[in-house]
Amino acid sequence: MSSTTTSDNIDKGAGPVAPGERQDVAQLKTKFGPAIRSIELDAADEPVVYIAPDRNTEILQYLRDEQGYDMLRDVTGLDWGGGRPIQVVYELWASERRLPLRVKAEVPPSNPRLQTAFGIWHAANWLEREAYDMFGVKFDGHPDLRRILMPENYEEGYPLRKDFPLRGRFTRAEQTRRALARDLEDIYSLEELAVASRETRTAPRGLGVTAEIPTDVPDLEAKHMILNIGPQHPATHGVLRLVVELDGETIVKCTPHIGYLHTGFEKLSEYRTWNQVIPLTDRMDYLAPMIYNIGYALGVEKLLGLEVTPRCKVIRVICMELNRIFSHLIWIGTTAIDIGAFTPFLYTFEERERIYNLHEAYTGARMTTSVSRIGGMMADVPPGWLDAVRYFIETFPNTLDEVERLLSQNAIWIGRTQGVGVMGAAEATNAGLCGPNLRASGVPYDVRKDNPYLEYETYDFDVPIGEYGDVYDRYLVRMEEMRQSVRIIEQALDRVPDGPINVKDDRVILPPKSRVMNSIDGMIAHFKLVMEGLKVPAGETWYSVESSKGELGFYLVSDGGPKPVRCRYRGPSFMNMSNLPALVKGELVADIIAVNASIDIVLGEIDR
Amino acid sequence: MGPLSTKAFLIIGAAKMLMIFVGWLTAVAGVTLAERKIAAWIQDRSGPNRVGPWGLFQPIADGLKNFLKEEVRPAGSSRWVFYLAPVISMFPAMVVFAVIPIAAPLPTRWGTVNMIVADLPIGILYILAIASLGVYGLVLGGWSSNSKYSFLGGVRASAQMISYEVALGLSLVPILMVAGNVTLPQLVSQQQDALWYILPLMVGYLFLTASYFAETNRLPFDMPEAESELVAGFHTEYSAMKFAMFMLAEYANMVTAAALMATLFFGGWDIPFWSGDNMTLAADGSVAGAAPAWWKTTLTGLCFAAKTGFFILVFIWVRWTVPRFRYDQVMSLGWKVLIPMEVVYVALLGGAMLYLDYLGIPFGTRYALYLTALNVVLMLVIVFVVDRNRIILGAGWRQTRPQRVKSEWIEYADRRQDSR
Repeated sequence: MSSTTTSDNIDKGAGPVAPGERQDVAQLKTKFGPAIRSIELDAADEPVVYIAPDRNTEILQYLRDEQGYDMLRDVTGLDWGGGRPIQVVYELWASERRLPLRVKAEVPPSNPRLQTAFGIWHAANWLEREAYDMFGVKFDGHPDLRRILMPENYEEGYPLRKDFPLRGRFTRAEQTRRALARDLEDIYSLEELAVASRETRTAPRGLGVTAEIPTDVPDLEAKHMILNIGPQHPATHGVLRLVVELDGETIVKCTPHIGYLHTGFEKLSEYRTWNQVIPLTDRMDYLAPMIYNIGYALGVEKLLGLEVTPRCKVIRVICMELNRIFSHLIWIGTTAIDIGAFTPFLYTFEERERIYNLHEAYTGARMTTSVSRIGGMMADVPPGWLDAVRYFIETFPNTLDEVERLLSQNAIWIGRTQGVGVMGAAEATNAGLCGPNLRASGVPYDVRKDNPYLEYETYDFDVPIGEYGDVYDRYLVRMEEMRQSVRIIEQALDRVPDGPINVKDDRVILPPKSRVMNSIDGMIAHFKLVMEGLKVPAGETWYSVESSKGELGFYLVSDGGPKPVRCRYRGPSFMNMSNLPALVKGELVADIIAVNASIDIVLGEIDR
Repeated sequence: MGPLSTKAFLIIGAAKMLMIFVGWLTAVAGVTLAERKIAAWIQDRSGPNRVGPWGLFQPIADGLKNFLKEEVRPAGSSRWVFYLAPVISMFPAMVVFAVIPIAAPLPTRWGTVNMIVADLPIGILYILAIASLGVYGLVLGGWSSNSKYSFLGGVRASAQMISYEVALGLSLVPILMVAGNVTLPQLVSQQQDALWYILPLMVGYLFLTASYFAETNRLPFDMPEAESELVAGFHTEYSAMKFAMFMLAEYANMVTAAALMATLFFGGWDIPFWSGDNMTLAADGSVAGAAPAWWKTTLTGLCFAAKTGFFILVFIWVRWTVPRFRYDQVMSLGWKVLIPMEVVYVALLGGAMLYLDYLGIPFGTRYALYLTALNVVLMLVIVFVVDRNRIILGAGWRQTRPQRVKSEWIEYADRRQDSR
C-alpha cells in the first residue's frame, strides 16, 4: 500500500543544495535564518524551501514584495501518513523573472494550523479552503473557511489524509442514512432567512450573507432577495450553484457553491498505478481531454527524468493545440447561447464534431480519449490522420470568420460584453485568474512562452493580450488563440519526424509483443510492467502546462513505488471560478450569466 | 346591393369568426413548425423531420404531448391566478385579429361581405387597448408561480411591456396623422390610393418594428423569458397545456404583429401595381372602385397571407441571428432612444405635412412621394449620424474599440542563466 510507505526516501535523490545557488533562495535564507528549516531540490531542480509554520505569512509576504513572486499558483497539502507532519505546499511564481518556488510548511496532523495567505494573494481563498477540506489544515484569519468540495456538514474527516480509507469511514448504509437525515432545504432556507428576516441576523455558519437589515422594519420589507442559480440551471455549465444576493436585479454578493460533481480524483489517483491515472485525467476536463492526458504524462516523465521521442513531442503538440481549439469552440458557442445568440453554438459545434471525429480516428473515443502514456502515446497516429488534421485546420478558420462576423461587430454583443466583468491586471495576477482570462486582463503570462514544454519555444506564435479585462476581451483573446493554435499546428504538421512514437525503455513502455514472446528480458519487462506498474523514482515536481482554460498544474509526489503518493491537479477553472464573486459584484443578473460563461469553467475539473 | 340583413349578418359573422379563428390557429401551429424549421436551416441542421412528411405534423404531435403531460402546480402558488394567467395571455392576441381586414370584400348572394370580423370605428385604438392586456398574463403568471425566476420574469415583463406600449403607441401616431382615421379597412384603401405607408413613413416603420419585437417578447427583447438567465422567466413553473398556451400566445402575438405590420405599412391585402383590387365597401353595402369578385378576394387573401408570412419570417430570422439585450439596455433603448426619437419624428412629420398643406398638395401619390423624400433623409440621418451602433449600446460603454486584441511575441529566455 502506498499509503503506508515512508517519506524518508523522498529527498534522497535531490539532496540539499548549497545556499546561494539561486539568488532569491540565498537571500531568503540570510533574511530569515532559522525560520528557513531546509532547502531541497525537486525532480525538476527547482528549490523547495521548508519554513517554520508560525512565520509563514511573514516569509510569503517577503517573497511577494521583495522577491517578486506575484503569483500564487497553488496551495495544497501533502500527507505522508503514519503521524508524520502534514506539509502545506505553496507554489509560487515570479512572473518578472519567470521563476518558480515551492515553499512548504510542516504542521502536526493533530492540530494543523497556519496563518492564511489570503491577505497576500487573494488566490489563496479557495485553495486554502480546499486544503482545509481535504487535509483539515485550519488557516487562521481566512475570511470564509468552509469545506468546499465535500458537503459543508461532512462528518467523516479529511479525505486526502492517508489514514482516510478510499471508501470513506462510514459504510454505504450509514452514509445514505446520514444523507437522508440531513435536510438540505434547511441550509437553503436558512440562507434566505438570513436576508429576509431580522431574527436570524446571524447567518448560518460561514454563509457570509452581507445584507444589512435595519431592525425597525417588519420582516417582509427586507431589501435583498436571495436567488439560487443552480444546481439545475441552463447557464451553469454543469452542476454549479450560485447563491446570489440581489438588490432588485443588481448583484450584491455572489457565493459559488461547488463540489456537486466531486469524484475524488486526487484520492483515487493515490490508489492507481501511474499509467492507470491517465483515464482519470480526461474525465476532469472533458472539453479538452488530451491536454490533461498529455500534461499528466509530461509531469510523470519529469519525475522519471525521461525524454520522449521527437515524433511524440510533435504529435503531442498537435493534440494539445487541437484540443485548445476544441475547448475554445465550445466556449464561444456556450457563451453566445448565454448571451442569447443560439446560432454560433451550432456553427462551432459542427467544427467540434470534426475534432471529435479526429479523436475517434486516433483513440477510438470521442471524449474520454486517454491518449497519452507515460513515455509516449497510446499508439502512433493512424495513417492519414495528419492529413485529416491538415484539412481541418485549412478549412476551420472559415467558421471562425463566420462566427466573428456574427458577433464581433454586433452592437448587442458589444453592449452585452464590453465593460462587463472587468478585472485589472494587478488584481487578476494576485487573485489567481489564469489562462485567456488573465491575458485578457493584460497580463502576458502563457506557460507555453514562460516555461515552455514540448519545445514550444521553437514554434512561431503570438500570445494575444487584452487591454480592458472584460468579457469582450476574453472573447477576442480566445478567438485569436484559436488562430494562433492553427499556426502552431501548421508548423507542427510540417515538422512531424519519422521514428518511433514511444521511448524504447522497458521500464516505462511495454515491449512489443514479438519481444515478449521471443525473449526472456522482454517477457520479464512486460510482466513487471503489467503486474506492478512502472516505478517512478522518489521525488516531487510541480509541472504545469497551458491548458485551454489556463495554467494546469500537476503536483506529483512519488516515494519510488508504483503508485503516486500525491497527485494534485490544480485546475485553472477552479482558480477562475473562485474569482467569479469579484467579477460580478455590482453587475446585473444577466451579467452574472455572461461573466460566468466568459471565464470558461468546466465543472468536472473544478470539482475533480 | 344593400347592406346585409340581420340574419345574414349574424350567420356570415359567425362563419367569418370561425374561419379566422381556425385559420389563425392553424397559422400559429404552422409558425411553431416554421420557427423550428427556419432555425434549423439557419443553423445548418435539418429540424423536425420525423412526424409526417417533412415534419409537417410536428405541431400536432407537440400539442398532443402537451395535452398528455402532467400538470404541476408549485406549492404556495395562487391557484386561480396561476390557472388564469395562460388564458389571459392567450386571449388578447386572438381578439386583436378581429379588426384586421384579411382580403378584399367578397360578393355573395346576400350582399357584399367585408372580410373582417369586426370593422370597429376605433380600429387601431382597439388594438392598442387590447394588446396591452396581454401583459397581465405574463405578470400574473410570474407572480402567482411562487418562484423567484418567475417573479423576476414577471417584473421584467411588466416594466418592459408597459414601456414599449408607449413606444408602440407613438410609432402609430404618424399613421394616424397621415391617414386621418383609425379604422384598418380605411388605411388599406388609402394605401391603395396613394402609396404603401412603408415609403412615406419608413422611419415610423422602423420604430414600429422595434416596439413590436419588444411587445412580443421576441429576441433580442425576450427579457421576461431570457432562458439562459431566468430559466424560462415567467413560465418557469408552468407545464403541460398551460405552458403550451403561453407558447401559443407568444406565437399568436407574433402572427398578429406580423399581420398588423402588413396592414399598417404594406397595404394590407393590397396587391401592388394592380388597380383591380382597389375597392372600398361603404357602410350601406355599396362598393366603390373596382368590382368585387370571389377570385379577387382569394388573391388578395393570399397576398395578405404572404405579407404576414414574410414578417413572421423576419421575426424568426432575427431571433436566430442576434444575442439578447440586457434588461437595463432594453429599458434605456425604450425610454432614452425610441420615445424621444419618435417624438422628434412626429414633430418633423407634422411640420412637413403642414407645409405640404400650405403648398396645397392634396393627399395622394405626390403627397406621399414628398413625405418619402423626407423619410429617406431622416433614415440616412438616423443610420449615419445618430446611430452608428451607438443606439443599442445605450447609456453603457461608448468607447470604440478595435475588434482584435493585440498579439505579442514573447521571447523565451532561459531564466536559469541570469538567476544563478
